[in-house]
Amino acid sequence: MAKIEIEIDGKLVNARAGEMLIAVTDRESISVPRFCYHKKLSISANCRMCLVDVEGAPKPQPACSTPIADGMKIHTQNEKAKASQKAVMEFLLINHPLDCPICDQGGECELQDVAMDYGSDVSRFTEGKRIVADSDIGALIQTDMTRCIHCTRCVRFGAEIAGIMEMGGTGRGEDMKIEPFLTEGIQSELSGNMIDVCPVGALTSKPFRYELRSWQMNSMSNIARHDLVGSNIYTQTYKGKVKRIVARDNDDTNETWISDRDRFSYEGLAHENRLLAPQIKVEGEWKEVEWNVALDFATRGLGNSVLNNHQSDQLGALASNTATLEEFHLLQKILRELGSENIDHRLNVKNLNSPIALDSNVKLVNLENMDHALIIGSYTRLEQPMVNHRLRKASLKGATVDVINAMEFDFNYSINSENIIAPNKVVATLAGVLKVVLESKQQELPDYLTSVKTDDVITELAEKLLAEGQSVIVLGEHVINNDSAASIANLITNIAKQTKSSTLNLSASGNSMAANLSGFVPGKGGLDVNAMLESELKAYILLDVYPHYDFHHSIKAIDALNKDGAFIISLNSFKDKDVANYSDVMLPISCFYETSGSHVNIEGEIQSFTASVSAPSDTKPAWKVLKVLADLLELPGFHYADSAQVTSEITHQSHKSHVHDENIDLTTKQGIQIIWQKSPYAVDALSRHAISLQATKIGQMNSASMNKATAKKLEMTQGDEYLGVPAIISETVANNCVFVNANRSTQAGGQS
Amino acid sequence: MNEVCFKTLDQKKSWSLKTYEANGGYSVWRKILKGELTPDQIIDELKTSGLRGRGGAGFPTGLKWSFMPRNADVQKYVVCNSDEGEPGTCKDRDILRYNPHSVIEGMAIGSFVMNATKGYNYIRGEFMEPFYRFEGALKEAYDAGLLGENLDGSSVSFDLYAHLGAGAYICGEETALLESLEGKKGQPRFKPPFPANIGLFGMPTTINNTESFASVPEILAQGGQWFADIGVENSGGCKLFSVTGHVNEPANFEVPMGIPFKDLLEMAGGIREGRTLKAVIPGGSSTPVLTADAAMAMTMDYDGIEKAGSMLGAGSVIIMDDTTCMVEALTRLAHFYYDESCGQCTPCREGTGWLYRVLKRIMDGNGKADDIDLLLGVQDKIIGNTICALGDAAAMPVESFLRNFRQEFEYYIEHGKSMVKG
Amino acid sequence: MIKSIKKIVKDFTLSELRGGLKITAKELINKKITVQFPEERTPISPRFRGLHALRRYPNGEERCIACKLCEAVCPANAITIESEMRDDGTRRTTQYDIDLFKCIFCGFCEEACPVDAIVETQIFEYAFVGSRDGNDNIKGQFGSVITKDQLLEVGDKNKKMIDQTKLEDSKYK
Repeated sequence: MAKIEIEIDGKLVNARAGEMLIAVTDRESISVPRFCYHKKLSISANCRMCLVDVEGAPKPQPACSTPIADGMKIHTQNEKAKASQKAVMEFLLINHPLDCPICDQGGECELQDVAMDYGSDVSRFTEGKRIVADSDIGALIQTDMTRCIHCTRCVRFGAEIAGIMEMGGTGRGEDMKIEPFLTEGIQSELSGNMIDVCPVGALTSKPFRYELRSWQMNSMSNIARHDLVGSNIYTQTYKGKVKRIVARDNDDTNETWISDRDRFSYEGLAHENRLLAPQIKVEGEWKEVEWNVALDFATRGLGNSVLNNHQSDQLGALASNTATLEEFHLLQKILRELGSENIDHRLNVKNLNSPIALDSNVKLVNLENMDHALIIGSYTRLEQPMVNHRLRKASLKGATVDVINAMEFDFNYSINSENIIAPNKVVATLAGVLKVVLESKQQELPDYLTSVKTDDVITELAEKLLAEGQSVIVLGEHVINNDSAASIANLITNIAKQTKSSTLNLSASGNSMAANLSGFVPGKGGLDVNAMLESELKAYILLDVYPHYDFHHSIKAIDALNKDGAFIISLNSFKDKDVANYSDVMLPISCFYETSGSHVNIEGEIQSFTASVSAPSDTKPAWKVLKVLADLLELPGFHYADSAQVTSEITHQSHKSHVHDENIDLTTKQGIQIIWQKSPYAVDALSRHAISLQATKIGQMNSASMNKATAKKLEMTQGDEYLGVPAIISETVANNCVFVNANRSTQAGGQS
Repeated sequence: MNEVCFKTLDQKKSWSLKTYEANGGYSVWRKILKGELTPDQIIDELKTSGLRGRGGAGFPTGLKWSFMPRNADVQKYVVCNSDEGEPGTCKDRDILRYNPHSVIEGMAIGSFVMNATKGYNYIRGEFMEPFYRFEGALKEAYDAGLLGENLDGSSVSFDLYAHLGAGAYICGEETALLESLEGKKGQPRFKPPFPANIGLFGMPTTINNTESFASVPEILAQGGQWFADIGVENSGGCKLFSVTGHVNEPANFEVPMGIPFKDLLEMAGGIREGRTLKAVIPGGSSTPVLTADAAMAMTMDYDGIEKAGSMLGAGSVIIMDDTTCMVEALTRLAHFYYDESCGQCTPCREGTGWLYRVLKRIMDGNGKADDIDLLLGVQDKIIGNTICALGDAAAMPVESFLRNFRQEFEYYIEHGKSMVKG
Repeated sequence: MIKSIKKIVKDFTLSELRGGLKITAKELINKKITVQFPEERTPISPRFRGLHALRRYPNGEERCIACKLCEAVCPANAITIESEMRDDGTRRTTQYDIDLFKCIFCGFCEEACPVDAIVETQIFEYAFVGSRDGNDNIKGQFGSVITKDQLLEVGDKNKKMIDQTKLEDSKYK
């Protein structure tokens, strides 16, 4: 765009033609008051607070919606501009309750700040003020709509970013109300951002209500570890407790938004179920002891069970996907120093003999420039909200999105073709796509493709990928326990190579990228998690493992761990009945935001963070526990003063990416297929303990969905328990397939 | 009198196609279909005629039509604003009732000039009879092959639809009308961009008042100069004035521009028996009120009324005689704007309510000495600070009422009762 | 020379002594200003800043809304407040402590209070019983940290005096 020069308050400024005036003043740090303008939302120009004087214009012009032109002369502070701004301020305040002392926004309120500069001391308004009745809009957002100044940021957020217009302006004139259209309240997975965009105290955080004033808290940068994006956040702390979480801008990852899971999971930190003291099991009874006693007990136990008999191959280490990069690294290092390669974090994968090997090779920011996306086995909206946000942006820019799923999901953008097929048909479909792609390029078909059938749908899927423009193939979590998972991944790799598409592997979430980076997978001769459990190892170190939720087959896993004779050291941040049953030592470790460490996101970006608060009570950061354990085991190379030293040790190692075997097997099992998916707010121990999140509709997702025909085969009716989860009969599910969304521990977990 | 929009008024079934055609209707449109007229010719003719937008703003129609990106390769729209909601105005209603075909032909000509093949007539929600009359005329026009695709084998196509609003005054604002037409909540859009670039469904759109469209066929049939000569300088042609209020025979009059107000008042039968003229609102409720003296000396054209201190607006002349309490009249107007503000932008949403409440308080006998200054202060803060003109429209009467009849307000505040009614 | 002569004359005529005795003599006759505390008391300004109290509304509802402005303005960090949403949805304190050792009786808390809840009374004769938290066995007494309940009690007991002094002072605000 053409560069032009304009004059603002007597200062010459360079700008691009067509830019809005407010963008220029913001860049030049010239303060123009505003309420409705938000850099990530569309312009509405309704608050009129940013009126400025443009020479030649008869009326004051709103800076947010005035495109600049060459030679424009603008006064933001002259009498005319000030008069308009003060006029608008007076109008905004006449019906505002001015209840700042009891308002949670007090101290961080845009209206308060601007009123300091533009408001008048004494009100001329002596009539009665407007009062607006509040509606309960759910467990996360508190409304005080009397304070609303009708800037419509929340409305525009819903319509433009969240993709569901849940808030809207009803009525007109003075009676205009911002309220949800539906009585069910706000359901979006990004709803908490409305709190951030609200310039006044009309929308505030419900769990935080009336607890603290904004000036009482310290804001610390941190990273949320619930998904593969690693959203940048500020943890706001008071007296050593995390009291609130707000978004931190980072255009490479989360822009200005964070998901509700990232925002409200902190509540779990203060849950009564935290494990707070080291405990050892003496003659079947748990005893709270000092750390040195517990660690001694642990090292002696390891010695007696495996080390002294030179049976280090009988030792295994398992970790959940929420651990930090440093924790993964130290635990695998301990194991390898002790001579064991039995290391794994892929607890929820049924078949690890041929695991999914698919690289992610697209930047998050580039996702929104895609022209086409093919999503396979994922409800990205709830599983990876910020990835979905980028895909939505792409879709709004005109990208087409195709989906291959086992169930119809409520995507917040338009889906070009939604293919609902049972898991055992995915591999054949993708093989068909590859066949069409190869045929169109007139390449020789490999043997396994010759007998593959194609149809119109498959051809269309392939043509979209072949078409001009950038495309991305997204592989989601639903595929991990597909019998043909490895073949699916390999087919995707091949299709991507042929069509020059990017790939995005969302099949393992949390901090699993860190686990891969630190080599937290079995080495040569080592056992994977399923093999470990089957071969009844004699000792385990378990890092934040909750068997009911984490293992693919929780019953089998719990049985295996409960077998006599195994010495089990558990590092956990929350208490768990089964952990207590099978463990010999329980070491309380700090949770999110209480430890320093690193998250590795889908781009491979290492995002390090420091602890925002110190670990509560007797808990310790896991990396420190592991370091001391290593010292007690007299292992060399554990002289770390802080976690950053661990991080730099990792980044200096060289890492192999996935090993691709080109093996593609198109044979599939018949019969009823199950996709077992933890519900979005049950993915890790912290969010499971966040009470407000659990009270939302997404938090309550707990159902086994199947269609009528499948239900008939399984002899199920609506509401019957299926693998511990209530059945829902719905024709949105593919035939011969049950889609489970479980939000609580069941005795069945992922059985199939 | 009654030469343009009301040409057929005195004839039997004036709204029928037969009557319209008997009076030379659709002759221009047929000429266009034969390829005998070019868009440039039409625009030139309109410029010569001095036709200015009859909806209130008075923007020259020929100029407006020339702004449309005629050759842009997108769907363009022509929209007629029949959402006549201004208190005191009832001219468009009668055009739609008695001469709907002139609107259809005017819009068709407009569509040809701007190369728009689709048109909408947005009719006020309460206008049931005019709506059905217009729908009937549309059917007649379609049946006669005057509307539709590739008319008369030419490359000219025009589809016209009538749309009934839902009764919001704000939808008479052109961009709010577009929002409403798109099925959204009727709220004005901020400008720029203007509808000529981004209008209905994001496409270039021209919006004109019913009377403007209805005047076009006759102007083109008789020539721009003929029309210009009817009126006075800077105010070409004739204009419909809706004379209402305390006159003996309130009615719509199509008269040449520049007619003295006195004559217009006489046409309406003069002031009611035994009373004298007190005040006149010459252009609809949102234009400033004039005192009797100023009004009696004024001529009814753009410049004449402006000289008197008001605006021609939509030509709705509200006559108030000496029994009118100006405090009550202003309170009623303020309530109208308070009720009709869309609530989108701050000064109008909050300010209209404030104005009304202060006036209501004065009416209730609880006025305070500084209320007049407060009212003046508040209206001054609304003017010029809003997205659309409704804020200005709400504020301007307050200023003029207080300027011209201040003593009545002071009396009301001091005595707690009306100076006129006691 | 003249200076020293003047001094000698002054010294020998005892003029300074007589000057002093003159004041004594005057004060012997004048009205006495010494008061017999505690039987007698000097008047106290309505602006006197003594012991703190929390006030209530006439209907018995506590005024404090936990806005924490007093806590923020306190230059000695003497005030500690914890708040929560009470069952009826209103914002209330669960803890309102003033450390009387830290307090410098500047009166900023009273100035900052938007609802006139925290006030400084004219009470200045009080003692701390026990240590920090006081002695529960002695009713109506408090330790060096005065709590919400005790502050409310001070307010309840001295309601009349507080209302009176605030009324007197209101003219000058």
